[in-house]
Amino acid sequence: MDETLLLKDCLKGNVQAQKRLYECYARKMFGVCLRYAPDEAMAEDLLQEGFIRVFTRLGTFRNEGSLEGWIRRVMVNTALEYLRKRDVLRYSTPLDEDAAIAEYDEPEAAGRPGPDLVARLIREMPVGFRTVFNLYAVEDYSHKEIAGILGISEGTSKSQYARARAWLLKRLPSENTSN
Amino acid sequence: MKNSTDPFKDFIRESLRNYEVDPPAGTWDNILSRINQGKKTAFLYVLIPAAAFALLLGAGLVFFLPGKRPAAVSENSGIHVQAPAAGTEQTITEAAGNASPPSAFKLKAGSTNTSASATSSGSPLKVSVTLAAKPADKHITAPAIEPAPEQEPVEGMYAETTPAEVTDSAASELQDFSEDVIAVLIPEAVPAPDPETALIPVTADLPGQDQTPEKTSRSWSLALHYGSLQDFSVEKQDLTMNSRDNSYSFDRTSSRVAVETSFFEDIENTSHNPPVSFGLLLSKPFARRWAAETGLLFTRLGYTVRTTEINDEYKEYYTSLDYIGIPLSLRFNLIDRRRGGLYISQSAVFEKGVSYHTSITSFTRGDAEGAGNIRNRVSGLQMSSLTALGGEIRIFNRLSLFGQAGLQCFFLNSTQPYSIRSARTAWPSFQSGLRLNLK
Repeated sequence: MDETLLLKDCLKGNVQAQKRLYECYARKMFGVCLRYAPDEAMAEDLLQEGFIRVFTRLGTFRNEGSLEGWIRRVMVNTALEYLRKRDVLRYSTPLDEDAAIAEYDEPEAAGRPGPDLVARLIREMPVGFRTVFNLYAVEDYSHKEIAGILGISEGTSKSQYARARAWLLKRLPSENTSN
Repeated sequence: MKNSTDPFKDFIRESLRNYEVDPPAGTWDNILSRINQGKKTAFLYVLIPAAAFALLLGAGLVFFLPGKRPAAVSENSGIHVQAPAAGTEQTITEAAGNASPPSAFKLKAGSTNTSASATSSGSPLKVSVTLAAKPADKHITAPAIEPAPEQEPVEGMYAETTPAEVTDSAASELQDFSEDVIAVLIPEAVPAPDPETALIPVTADLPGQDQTPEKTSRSWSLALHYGSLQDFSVEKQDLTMNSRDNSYSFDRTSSRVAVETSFFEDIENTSHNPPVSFGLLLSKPFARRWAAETGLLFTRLGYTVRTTEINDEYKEYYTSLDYIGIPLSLRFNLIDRRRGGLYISQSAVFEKGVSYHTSITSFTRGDAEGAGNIRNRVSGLQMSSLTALGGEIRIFNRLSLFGQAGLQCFFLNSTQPYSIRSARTAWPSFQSGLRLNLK
């Protein structure tokens, strides 16, 4: 699929082109939305809202990076806006800044948990942990950037990530074991 | 991409790199319906002003189409009715003093129940009648019908004749006079004139007639105007940039402000500069009171966003936006006199952003230092509707000073950068300028 041609057709309002764009990225973006939303229904709403913003603002895409990366950022921003509206991000639990991050022993390839398991566990995290974890571990933002985006301190971002990481690590081996 | 030294983070990212889940069925249909709904709304933003413009244009054409107008009666004009000679037929025609073609008049009695007797026999009488009216009255007072002195008929005053209405009854009451209706009665015996219906001079100020000569010139006119508003600061949340609505396009400037202010939560203050506009308008009257206008407009918008001060540091984002626009207007003269007039106008304005620049300044303990510049492109068109009431005073022969106040409503703001117009879509508009009648 020629991405440039597809973009041009989408900008012209070609419905078929828009549908092709949706079909190309919908599954991956729904996975992104599932990581941020508390449930599947909300994830579907985020997906719809995100794609509407994609089509509305497609003219602002400047080819500075991949189209998938740009769409992903739109989806993440949509999810964050939803979370801000619900005011679920404005809490912080003090944590000793010197607490060491638990060591992680990377398992053998055969014993690695699959993406479905990892995604499911991330969804089960409390929302505050989950948001910081997604932005740091998956979207690769720095703690300073996360602090600016979420309106929290850099220290809070680090502590939230540490707690989320520990929470996930505690569950990964037991889930993996049970599987 | 940052180089990560955290293997757990790398593992997570690798696990989820190609993670895909099928969205629920019907998701695309929901997206499509919402997109189409948005298109219909945007179309309405175009359709409603276009419909208003077409309506005004149509109303103007209706006024422009020639219609029957009551014939003007010049001052002190008289209608002399000479009774036809026996056996002949005679029609009383207008003895108007103006150049309009003569038309038949019929007289009716005034509200004072003037009556005149008429007989069907006897020699006809010459009746001298002068139409009269008070300026405020809609009726012409009944003329006294009295035997007219012998006089030579005025050439051209009479046309073909028809027999006058004559009744056998003693009196036939004449009901009302109007300037375009006059019936001829040629009584044999006429009662004494009623003092209340005494003749009064006809003036030109008959109801329905123009009371002053037409003032509106049909020549082109050129106007130069200046418009502005008082500047103000915006501290209410609904008028600053925020993450709750999409009344403006999301670009590098708003994105940068979002990152720096935790999604607009840490905006201390937004100040909008007074919008300034200059324009050159060309007008062409196309009917007695109507004129069409178009031209060129330049508008500058500007605002400053100040972030919350944290650790003695804050930033200011100053943005300036320039628009070039074309107005399409209809102007209706409510009052048009030699010395000036009053008018209303309805305009549709189409503007294109030609310059969009943001400069960022960092302040540390009050000391400023430049922190960056952002240049953006403005896509799409800004549409607006302007309804105004204006007045004009003639200074010299062809030069006049005008001022107008109105309300301007802005549409399609989501395609435009954030500005005072997206903060609030309807604003008062004040313009003043000079108008020169071209010949």
